[in-house]
Amino acid sequence: MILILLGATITGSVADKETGEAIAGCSVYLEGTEFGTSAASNGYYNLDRIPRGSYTLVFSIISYKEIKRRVALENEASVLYENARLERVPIQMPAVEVSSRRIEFEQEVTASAFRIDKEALKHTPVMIERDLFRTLMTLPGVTFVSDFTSALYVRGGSPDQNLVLLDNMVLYNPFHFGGFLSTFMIDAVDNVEFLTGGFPVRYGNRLSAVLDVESVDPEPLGGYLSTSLLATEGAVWGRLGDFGGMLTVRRTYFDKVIPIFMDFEFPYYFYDIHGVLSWRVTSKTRLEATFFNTKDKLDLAEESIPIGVGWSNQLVTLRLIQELGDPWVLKSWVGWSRYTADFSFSDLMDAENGIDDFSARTMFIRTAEVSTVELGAEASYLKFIYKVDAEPFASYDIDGRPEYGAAFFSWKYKPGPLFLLQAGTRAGIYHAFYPDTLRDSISGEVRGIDSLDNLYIEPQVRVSAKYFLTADDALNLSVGNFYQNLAMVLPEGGRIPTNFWIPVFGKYGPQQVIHLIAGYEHLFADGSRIRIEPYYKHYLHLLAFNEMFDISDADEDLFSSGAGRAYGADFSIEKASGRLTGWISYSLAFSRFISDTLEFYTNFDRRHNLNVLGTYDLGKNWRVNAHFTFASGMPYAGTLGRYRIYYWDPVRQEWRYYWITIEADRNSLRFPAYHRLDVGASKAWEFRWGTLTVRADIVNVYNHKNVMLYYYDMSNEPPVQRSVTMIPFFPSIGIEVRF
Amino acid sequence: MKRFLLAGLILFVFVSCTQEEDYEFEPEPNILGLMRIGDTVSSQLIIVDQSYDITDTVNEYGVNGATVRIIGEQDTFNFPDTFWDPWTESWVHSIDGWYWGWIDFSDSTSYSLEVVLPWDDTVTADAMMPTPIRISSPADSDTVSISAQPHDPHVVTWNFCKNTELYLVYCIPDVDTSELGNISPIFSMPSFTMDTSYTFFLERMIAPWIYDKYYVLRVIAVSPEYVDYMGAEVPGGSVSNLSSGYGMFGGIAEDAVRVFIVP
Repeated sequence: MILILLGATITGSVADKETGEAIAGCSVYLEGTEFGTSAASNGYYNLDRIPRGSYTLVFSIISYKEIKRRVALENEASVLYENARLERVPIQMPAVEVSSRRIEFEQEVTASAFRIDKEALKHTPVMIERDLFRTLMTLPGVTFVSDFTSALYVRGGSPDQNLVLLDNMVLYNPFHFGGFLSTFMIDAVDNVEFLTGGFPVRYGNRLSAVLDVESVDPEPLGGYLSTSLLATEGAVWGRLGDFGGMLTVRRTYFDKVIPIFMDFEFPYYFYDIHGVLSWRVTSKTRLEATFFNTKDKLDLAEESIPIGVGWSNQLVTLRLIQELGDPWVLKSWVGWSRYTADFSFSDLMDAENGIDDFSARTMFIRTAEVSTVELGAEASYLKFIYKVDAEPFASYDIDGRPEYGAAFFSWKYKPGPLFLLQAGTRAGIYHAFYPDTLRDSISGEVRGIDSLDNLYIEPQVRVSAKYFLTADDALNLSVGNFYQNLAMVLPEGGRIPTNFWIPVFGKYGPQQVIHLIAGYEHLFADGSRIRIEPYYKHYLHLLAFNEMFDISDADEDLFSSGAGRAYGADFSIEKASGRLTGWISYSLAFSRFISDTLEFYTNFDRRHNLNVLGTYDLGKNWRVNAHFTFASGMPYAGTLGRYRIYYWDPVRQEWRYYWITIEADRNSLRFPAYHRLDVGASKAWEFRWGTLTVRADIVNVYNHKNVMLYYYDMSNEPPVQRSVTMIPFFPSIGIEVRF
Repeated sequence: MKRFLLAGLILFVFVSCTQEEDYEFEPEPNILGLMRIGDTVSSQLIIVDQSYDITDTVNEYGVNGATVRIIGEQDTFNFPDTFWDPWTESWVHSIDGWYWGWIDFSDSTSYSLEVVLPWDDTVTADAMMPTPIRISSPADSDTVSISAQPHDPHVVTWNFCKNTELYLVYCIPDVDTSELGNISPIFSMPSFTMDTSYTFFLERMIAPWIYDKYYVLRVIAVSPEYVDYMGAEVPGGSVSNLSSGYGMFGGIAEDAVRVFIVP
């Protein structure tokens, strides 16, 4: 036993040759042996228990030129220090970074975690435009409600239960109406971490999932211009000494293109602007700033339909990353995030929603081989407004100043090769302060002001563990509780995209959930992976939009308070290397809302979700890809029957009647199953000045009419059911110039 | 590989066992027992109908073969689906689902509607009827000047009616029924009040009056049950006071005078 423990050690750090930054995840191994590891987030690595002898030490990671060194270990007590500085090289990327998968597998509790790097996003099968959210929609546990919104529904949770962070600031509505595109532009994004459950304590104030997006670190001078039938996107970036910058811009022209393929005008557009600045103040200090601005606008007034819908995001954040001395790192952020939405219907109704979020966060990280500690705190001050003017039926103005603060402590412990533990606690405090805001719609008097100043203490504990059955097989277990102090008004579960945020107030307390996740995963040598994850989410308190709410009593009637259950199992197989790459994901899911007075399947309760994606590299810069989706039908409250309302007509002095429909219990009917096949092909030409890529895509190849909603034409006898369907057969072509 | 196949098989079995619920439409009774109190009312009508599957073709008006009656404190009044036609001197079958009868209502009596449907379900409801209404001003054939000064608001007044939740006031051109489709919809919109008087003509000064014509001024006292029932298009929908199904048992009292409208 003692002999086994004895052995030589090789240790050191791995860094970028140009910038000096640590290269986390770099594979470090002795060629031809089983000895290997991956560099930690601060770049340090450690290989031990090595028998004496001569070896070839290899430093290898995608995007960098591999380094091989001959090393000699003279005896079992030898300690060899080997630092490596790797040179970045432009190379053809496989869809997945094998080494980063290995480090993720060995050093993280990977239950419900998906890490997608920029290169992987670029090589994911795309339809019309590369898009982060449409890639995320294909992951296990994620579903959608229509082609016309890219909102993510994760494991029985609505989109408002997802924490979406851009450079650590909350982005309140990163979805564009239109479905094809989210607010993120791929080339402005670096790493993406998507956690579908059981997320660590550094994340809070959401119930279901976390999407943590980091802006790209600007590279030396470059840029691109990409255009398709729907949008044009361009970017420039550059680096001068210790300063770097990047600006990415996109604008759509749905309003011009859709009428060509469909028989209606669609006066809708959106634009996105994403900018990044970075400054390496010293070798240990880095400052980064992000600017983000998006806007959606749909105005049907010129089409004689008096409806206007719009929303926008603005975000500014400033980040400080300070190495305090090995192994401590300080990360701090301050930022402002604004979300506004408006909806108008003729002169009858105007609704306005807005959040100004001023936040500050700081975190100390201590990274070591066996034990990693994170200690941090955050504070947010929100200015919030929800205003509806629908005289004479309703006029209310909910105007709040809620505050949120939290402190957290997390400890990751890996005592040996078999077991990994990650435990953490988070103490949150939420002050729901709504001064003089709720007024009687008739008298104008303030109502119940005392009840609108509530304080909530939110203790949270989250524990995850991983047990390695073999070097490539592991079991995951994760349990934890979560709070959320906001809710979203989601008519029809989000099929009608008027997304209004409302921080909890008055009688609506914070939402709460407990996650229990178990999982098995197998990692193949090439980075391919199989995962099976059953999960159970027990919602202790949940707010569901009241579809039948009384508009004259919105503050008391807007939400139904209750509990909920979401459970199911996610299954995925991923092929990460070779000419054919892609994945198959399948989710079995159940999601129910339960209160004292009603119980129903949520609008997004899809029982089965299947995604099959594949990209095939034909060589000579030709790629073809395909994506098939099958999702069982969503619930809806449809029309079952009708009856006559008889009445005596005092004008005509006769008996008359009109028909009233009988609606089914909430969400007791289901739409037909959704399925769609998309295909695409691309060809790239490389020139001395850059690359030209041309691609062609077809959405919904066999033109399946996926139903979005039903209605009855009551002018017929019997009434005729008619449907509104989603995206039909839709070809497109795009060109990208990259220099 | 075998274990993955096994896991997949387990998942498949799990999937196969899941079943969505089926929803089957079940018809329910739909009964209107709106009793009309007024001098011009010679008989009362109770309509017996049902709800229908949205996919069904509905050509008939109601349900035949029901036993319909109203029970007072001392008497029971039957409503057959036939009536005596004095012209043909024979019993004539009414429109499907229409049941006719006659009651002289008392204002202090609670009446019970009882309908035994052909499939043996029984629907019941209780209500008290509004007392008769009389318009006291303006009088029949009075002339009303619309352009009068605001100090002369042309108040319409009537007597207080028991068992009444609100009053409706109409003023409709006195034309043949076939011509009603040509008049402005504004005349079909009543004014509402819970008082026994209303400044009706002041409110309607901007209506598209055609002057120097006779109009029918009609005031209706509505029982609470009918008010709830007619809320079909407001939040909460139509509220029934029947023991099951849709519909209502209640009453209205009507009175009308002719007025001559001048500028």
